[in-house]
Amino acid sequence: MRNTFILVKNTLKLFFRRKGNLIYILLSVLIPFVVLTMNLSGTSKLTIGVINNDTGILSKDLANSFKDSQKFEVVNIDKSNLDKYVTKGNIDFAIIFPKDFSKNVIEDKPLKVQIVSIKGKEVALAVKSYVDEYISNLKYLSISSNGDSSTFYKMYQEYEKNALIKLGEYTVKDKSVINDIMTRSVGMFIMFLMLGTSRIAELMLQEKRDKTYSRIYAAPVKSIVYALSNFIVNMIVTLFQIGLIMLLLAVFLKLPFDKSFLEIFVILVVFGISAIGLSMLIVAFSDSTAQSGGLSTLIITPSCMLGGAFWPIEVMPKVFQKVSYFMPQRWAIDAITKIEGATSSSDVLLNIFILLAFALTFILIASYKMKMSNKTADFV
Amino acid sequence: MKAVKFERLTKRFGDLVAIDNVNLEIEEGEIYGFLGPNGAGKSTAINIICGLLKIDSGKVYVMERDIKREPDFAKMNIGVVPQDIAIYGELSAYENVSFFASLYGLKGRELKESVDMALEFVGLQDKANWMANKFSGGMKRRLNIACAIAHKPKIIILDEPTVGIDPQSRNHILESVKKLNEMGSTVIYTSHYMEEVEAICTKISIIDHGKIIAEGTKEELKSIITDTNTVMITVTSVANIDENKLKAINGVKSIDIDENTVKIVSYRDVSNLDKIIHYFTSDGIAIKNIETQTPDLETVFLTLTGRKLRD
Repeated sequence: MRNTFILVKNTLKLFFRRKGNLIYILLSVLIPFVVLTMNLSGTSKLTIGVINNDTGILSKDLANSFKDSQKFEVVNIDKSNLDKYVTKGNIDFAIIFPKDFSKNVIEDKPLKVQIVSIKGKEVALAVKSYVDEYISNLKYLSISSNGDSSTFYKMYQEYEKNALIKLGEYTVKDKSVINDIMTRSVGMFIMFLMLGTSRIAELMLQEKRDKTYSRIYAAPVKSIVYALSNFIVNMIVTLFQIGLIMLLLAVFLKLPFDKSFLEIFVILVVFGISAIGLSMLIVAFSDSTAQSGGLSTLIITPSCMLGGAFWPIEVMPKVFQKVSYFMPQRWAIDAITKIEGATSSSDVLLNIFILLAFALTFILIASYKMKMSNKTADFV
Repeated sequence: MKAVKFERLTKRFGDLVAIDNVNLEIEEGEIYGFLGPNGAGKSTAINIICGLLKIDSGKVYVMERDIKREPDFAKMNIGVVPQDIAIYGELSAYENVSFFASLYGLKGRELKESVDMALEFVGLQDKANWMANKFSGGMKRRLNIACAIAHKPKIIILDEPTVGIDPQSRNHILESVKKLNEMGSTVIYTSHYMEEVEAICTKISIIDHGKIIAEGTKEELKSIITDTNTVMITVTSVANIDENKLKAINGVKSIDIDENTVKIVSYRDVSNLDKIIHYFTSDGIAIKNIETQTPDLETVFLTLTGRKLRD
């Protein structure tokens, strides 16, 4: 135990004395934070394309309610042009109202409002929850009016005046935009986090190259103690990065210290453990820092792409979407999306277990490989 | 007491037998020299003593205790100075020695005193706070030694500690080795510099192809080859020398050609000098000088292994 502490202290000292490491750690936090802040302050309006097959007034009012917010612009489009609008990026998402939407609302019949989003699941979810809330309020009116349209419209006029119902929509709309930016920034942060863990794990290879590893191993220090000390150092630095970004979010973006805040922290920590596991695995299979550096780039960047760190998973082809299930990044980002969507904690638990399973698998394989390599350790 | 003992030690790397059924005993208080060319098995033997390599078969004892059963006991009693400088450039000399010494359980005042003693011993006490990457090659070598002795090991293993350093640092290191021995440590020393081994070692073993082919004091080793004579013939050019013709002369054991000098080792009981000279004159090779040589360790090594130490 004492030797673990001595090794941790020494590794931390070495890591931070090497030029660039402290700067890297700070930048890995500051860059995603600055990107997030800049995006939030300059958030442009999201454009909604409305395909209205309904002849009634309710669908028009619902679409117009988006206009009331400063965050949305509403354009009416034709269904045949939907693909063109989406591919050209003229609209961010589309709402398709079915024929007889208004009539079906009044008669309390099933409704199928379709939402097509290219901004990611979180935006679609937020818009959908807003639309659902709006419709469910109308359904109360429909039940009260017993399907009679004139009674319904009388009540509807009163409803329209009710400011309380409209208050919620601003929150929903604004949050959906913030969530999207937040998710992309988290994606960027976890990529930096992964590159940072590789840097620390690589210290083991540097020590092997410089023969100090063998000198340590010639003392009464077991190889597992050495690997554990590197893991602890990696954990300390990772916690520092996560802590710092959470602090910045709390102080500058006024993110409240609530359950969601704690859940995001836990998810990032668990993801950090799996990233450390992966970095140890890369080091275990590398003979030199050049090799591990190459492997890290080859693994981290594409897995971040596939795991949805740079763009929503939904925009990728179906095959890649399936592959993404094997990327820890996907489960971390998915958990963050769930937390932002105010999903219950039990849903996030599954993501935590999966991330821990990734970590355990990586660490076990790395330990086995390192143990085998030690059998041919060369010192003098 | 035996400081180190091998009993039928064997170590393989795949098909290669690095140590082949070796028995060895190093008495406490000796300066024991390991001589052997690269790949002879010398490094493997040292790695095994240090606990860095596992044994395939046989036993190794350090201070008469089995290293397989008590690996930490062996490690606590050994200080190793590796051939490659194994220090942290980003740490000061003091921090380097302190870190490695603390891994052996030293702490507090004992640690501080031991680090000061080790730095003073290698003559770096006035540069204790210098970063190691600011040191010259010789100073780094001395720090390399300090890191191995601060925990006061009973056995100190030095592998090629004088490679690539200036004569002043070299003399300092050789004097240090002698002093460490006088202070009670058993020293295991490997070097390519035969004169170093000859100057400081009390006992020497010659290793080749994983086996100890000769062992004893330097006098004992020289006596092994007293049945040979060495003639050094300096010629104007070695270009036309046919080694096979020379080797075919009765009694010639080995030949080594270096620049314009031909070194011919012959069995003492065979008189063949006239035939050797005849070869040179008949082949038209002009002789500039002829001298006979008394055997040194280099000759012993060449005679026993058929190659030079640095081959």
